[in-house]
Amino acid sequence: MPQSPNGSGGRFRDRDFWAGIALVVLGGVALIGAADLPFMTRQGVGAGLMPRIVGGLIVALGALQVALALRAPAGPVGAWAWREIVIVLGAVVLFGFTIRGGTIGPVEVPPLGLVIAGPLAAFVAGLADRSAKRGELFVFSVAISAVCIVAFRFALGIPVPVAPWLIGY
Amino acid sequence: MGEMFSNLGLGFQVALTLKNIGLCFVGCLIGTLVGVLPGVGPVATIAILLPITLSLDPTGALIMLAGIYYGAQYGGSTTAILVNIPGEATAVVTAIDGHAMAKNGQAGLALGYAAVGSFIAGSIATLLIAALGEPMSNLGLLFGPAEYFSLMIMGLVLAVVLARGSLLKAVAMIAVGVLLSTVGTDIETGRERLTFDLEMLYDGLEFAVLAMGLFGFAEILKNLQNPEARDVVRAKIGRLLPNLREFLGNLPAMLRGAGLGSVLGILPGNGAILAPFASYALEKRLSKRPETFGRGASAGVAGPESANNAGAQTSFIPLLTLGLPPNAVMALMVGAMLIQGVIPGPQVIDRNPELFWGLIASMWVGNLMLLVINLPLIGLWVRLLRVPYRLLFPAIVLFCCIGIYSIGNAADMVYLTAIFGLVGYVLHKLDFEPAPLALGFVLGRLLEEKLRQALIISGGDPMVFLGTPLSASLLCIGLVALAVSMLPALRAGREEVFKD
Repeated sequence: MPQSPNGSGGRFRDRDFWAGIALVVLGGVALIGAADLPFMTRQGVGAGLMPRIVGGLIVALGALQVALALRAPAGPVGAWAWREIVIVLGAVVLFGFTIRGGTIGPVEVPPLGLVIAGPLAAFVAGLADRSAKRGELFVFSVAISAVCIVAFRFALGIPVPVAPWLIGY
Repeated sequence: MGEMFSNLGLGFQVALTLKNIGLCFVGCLIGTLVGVLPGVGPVATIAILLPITLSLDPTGALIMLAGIYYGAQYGGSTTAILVNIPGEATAVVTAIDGHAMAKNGQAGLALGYAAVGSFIAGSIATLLIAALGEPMSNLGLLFGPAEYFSLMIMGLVLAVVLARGSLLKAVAMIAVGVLLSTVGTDIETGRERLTFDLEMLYDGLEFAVLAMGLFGFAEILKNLQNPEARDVVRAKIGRLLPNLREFLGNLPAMLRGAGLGSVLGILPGNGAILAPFASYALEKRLSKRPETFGRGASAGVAGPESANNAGAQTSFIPLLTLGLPPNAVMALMVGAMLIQGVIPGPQVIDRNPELFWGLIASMWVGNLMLLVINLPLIGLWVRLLRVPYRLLFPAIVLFCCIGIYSIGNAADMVYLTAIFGLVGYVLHKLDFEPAPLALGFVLGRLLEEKLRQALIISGGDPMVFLGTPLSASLLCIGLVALAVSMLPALRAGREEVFKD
């Protein structure tokens, strides 16, 4: 429940306070990003009108939210699930990177297709759960990928690459 | 009236071809299959399965998508009843008494009430859509850009009023949604907006990407952080169909739910979300034994489920007749229609009558199919739900990845979805609701387009929005709704509706 508003730094852990800050920052980025877009032109509404009005509104709402939070805090933000975020979203990025290949810096990955990208993404994502059992997860990742290949590519005809390096598509 | 039935006749001719029945069937089945997965609501389900329909003809694609939608809805209710994990806001109510019934060894009966109630509500809603389709489209043709703009503003205000939690945060989320919709190349002037020189942003953000991140990945992260005790019902499932006395006892609740849901679903601004809550509150008030609510009252399942399904269906009305998607699911439908070359709006009924009426007829067919395929398959869903989450969620991640990749055959979209997954998690931590953001995003581009057109027609005079009676009254309704919702007494009532 709400912490004491005068408590030691309590307001800087408050989720409403940070919600307001986040809005101010986002709106500010929009205002800066759209600063050189015309508000109105002779043809009518310019490209900048909508982003700037909405950006301004977001900044104003954020400032109001900060003020409200300083008067009546909602409670701390709480712990962040960094481990889960990094692993699950990392698995998603890994899928995007391996399915059709690509380069990041010196690393060059050939298009590996669903045969590799599927089990890889499922296995890595599964590690995010602390109760994961690696052997079981590995077998399951391969099995579910096989199901996906059959279902999406062959039964439903979605043109997702399966194994370009082996069978050409 | 006679015309309505001849139109429905045309619809059934389209919907009852072997191919379209097949598509409807497959849609319902895989929609339920994915929708049953805990934490996967209709939005994520449709986003995952959207690519499947891309190779079909427009009518077939929409029929299949509608099937997927009903399947996903019903799958969500199944999960709510059997595991007490509602996949989305509207199944929250079903979980209360449905799961209590399941614990009492009446899981089958709860699912049966949900299915029968949904079917009855779906039938009523189908008739209502058929009756309203023509007049609403005609009304839509009277709408100029100014009226459209005002209608959307009203819809967004209603969405704020109906959202849960802080009003300020709901308004902010809508604004963020509108802001995100401006990202990319401005169609009108060709200027790049807020792309920060990132190539993947040039074409703007795809709604499916946003939806899958906010509703799909963020949900998984939430579940991993707070592992809910998933108590899959161990008690026996029991018989499925109510006997005649039980059925007649709950029929009034179903009919009331269907009525409430049908009306609320038509409102722009996602009125359907309110339907199950309203129905639950109503049934509790009318019940002779209100103390049984929360402990397995059958009317607490039959009413809200009917309301839910009716609302889900009538929310097609604003989309099909005005071209305005009232919620995230309908926004995905817009995306699918545009890909198929059908521009949603009042002209659809004249230009693509077989699509319009075929879709409506297939809604009824879909509801019937759910009744037929789901009752025998309940054993399968129970077994699926007993698979531990540590294995289910990697599978969900993989489905989402494949779905997103296939929409554009681009890895960029997969990366963007991951970013929106993070955004969705941050929103959750800061007590923001993602639903208003999605609605703002969906209406943002239309809003700007209509604003531009209206101001060009008026020669730049902003008073154009108050100039016609229709436009002015729409804005007035929005203003009044906003003012009323800020009254302290009503705010308390609003919290109560969602808590009840």
